[in-house]
Amino acid sequence: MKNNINILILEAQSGNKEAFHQLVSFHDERVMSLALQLTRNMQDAEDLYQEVFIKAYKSIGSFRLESEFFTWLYRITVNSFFNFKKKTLRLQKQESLDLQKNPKHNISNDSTLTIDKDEVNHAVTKALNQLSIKQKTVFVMKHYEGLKIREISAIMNISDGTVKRYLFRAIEKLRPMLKEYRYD
Amino acid sequence: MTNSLTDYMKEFASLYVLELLTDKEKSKFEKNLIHNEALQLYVHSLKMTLNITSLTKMPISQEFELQSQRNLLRANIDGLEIKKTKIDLGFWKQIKELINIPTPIWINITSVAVAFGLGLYLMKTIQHPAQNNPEIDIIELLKIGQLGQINFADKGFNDDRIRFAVESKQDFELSGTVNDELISNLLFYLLLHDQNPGKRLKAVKLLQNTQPDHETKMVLVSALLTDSNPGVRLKSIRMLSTYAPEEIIQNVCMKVLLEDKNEAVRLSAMGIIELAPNESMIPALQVVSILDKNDFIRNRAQELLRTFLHDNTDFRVEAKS
Repeated sequence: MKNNINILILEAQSGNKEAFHQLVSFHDERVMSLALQLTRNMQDAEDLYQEVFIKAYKSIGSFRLESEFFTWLYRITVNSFFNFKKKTLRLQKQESLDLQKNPKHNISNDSTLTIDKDEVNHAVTKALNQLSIKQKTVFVMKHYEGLKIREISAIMNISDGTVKRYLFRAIEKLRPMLKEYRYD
Repeated sequence: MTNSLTDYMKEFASLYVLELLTDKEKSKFEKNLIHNEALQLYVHSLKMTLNITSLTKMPISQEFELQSQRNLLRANIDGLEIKKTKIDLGFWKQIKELINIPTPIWINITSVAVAFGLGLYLMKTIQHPAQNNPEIDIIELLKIGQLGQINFADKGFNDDRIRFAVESKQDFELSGTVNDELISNLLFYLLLHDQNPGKRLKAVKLLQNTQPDHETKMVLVSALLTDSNPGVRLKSIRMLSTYAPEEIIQNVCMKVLLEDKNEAVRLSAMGIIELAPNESMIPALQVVSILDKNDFIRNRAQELLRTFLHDNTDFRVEAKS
């Protein structure tokens, strides 16, 4: 399997578009899953999916076969998510200013509300959004995606110890925020 | 009680519940755990927290949703290639023109003067679209062929303004927010007329931030019914799902449910139809409950049919007979 992937990578690097699309179909379920857990919103996850693979397509020539292809894709996903988050924060600031000026119906706000129907789901989403972006990303990759510490540290380009510290800080923050929903 | 624990113990406890300790560390921690009630409570609360978060894992996308994204990606990548080719061709065309066509000097001078004059005129009237200057109608200029390509030009900017680079005799840029009438008109134009699916997709995404109004709704309906790209249709129908499910939207969704080739688009249409079903939909729903290729959509159509008669009649069987 790994050899096949490497052949497809080399083909894609030499300009074979079909080989790239095959690589996508081998890996996109995992990318979509990570995007969904990070954004917790289907539309945003789909946007992230497109962004990740377009970036991958543009820069596949720079991929060296020294690391796993999925690690490389995950790294692009995480970086794209960081950029997406920055943009969202900026827009939220602007929207809150606009709402103060003109408190009318807003589509994007409403669609988020309809997704988070379930109270617990809403509480977890809210709690995860209170974490720092790195804490959240590390937590999602470990807890939801089941990645190993070594893999997370390679994707985020940080040490194993830092990954563990982010995890500890994340759970330590989530614990009081989800207190009401625990069946202690 | 857990306050008595040190940060070091807490960190160990979190690594323990995440199963990140080595065997040696784990047995040492468990020995400690037996005698320390505060630690037991803390570990329990961590486990419960993790359980809660596990319960709310976002559902994984189904194969047909992924397929729809793959198709969209193909279209986006093809769009990139077209753009690249156009740029290359444009460059060569310019070079060719420079080399091959000897132009009398008076034509060059006149062209520069006309372009300068036109540029000044356009800059004056278009630079501030929010001021609603009535002197120029870009859409009208497009119709009569005065303007060429409209491109997004928002790379490198960190605000929420939308920027367009407009190709004309004198290229110019204009910017504004989605709530500016001119900007939203340009987004409508791109969504309904541009050849590049990537640009159409970007236009529909930007329209998500507009105030919902009749005009936007009709443009979305039009895109939903006519766009060849499934991604554009999917975004359009998802935006339409945020509007009240009035008759026109319900009718369009029924048409989409019967005719659209993309399962994700049909599924979204089904979601809107379910919001306000009426009995005129029964014949179409019967067709869907039998003929749709997707099991999930067929089942949902059957479920909806049952609600009309408040019994458990199997409409699929009834229609077959």
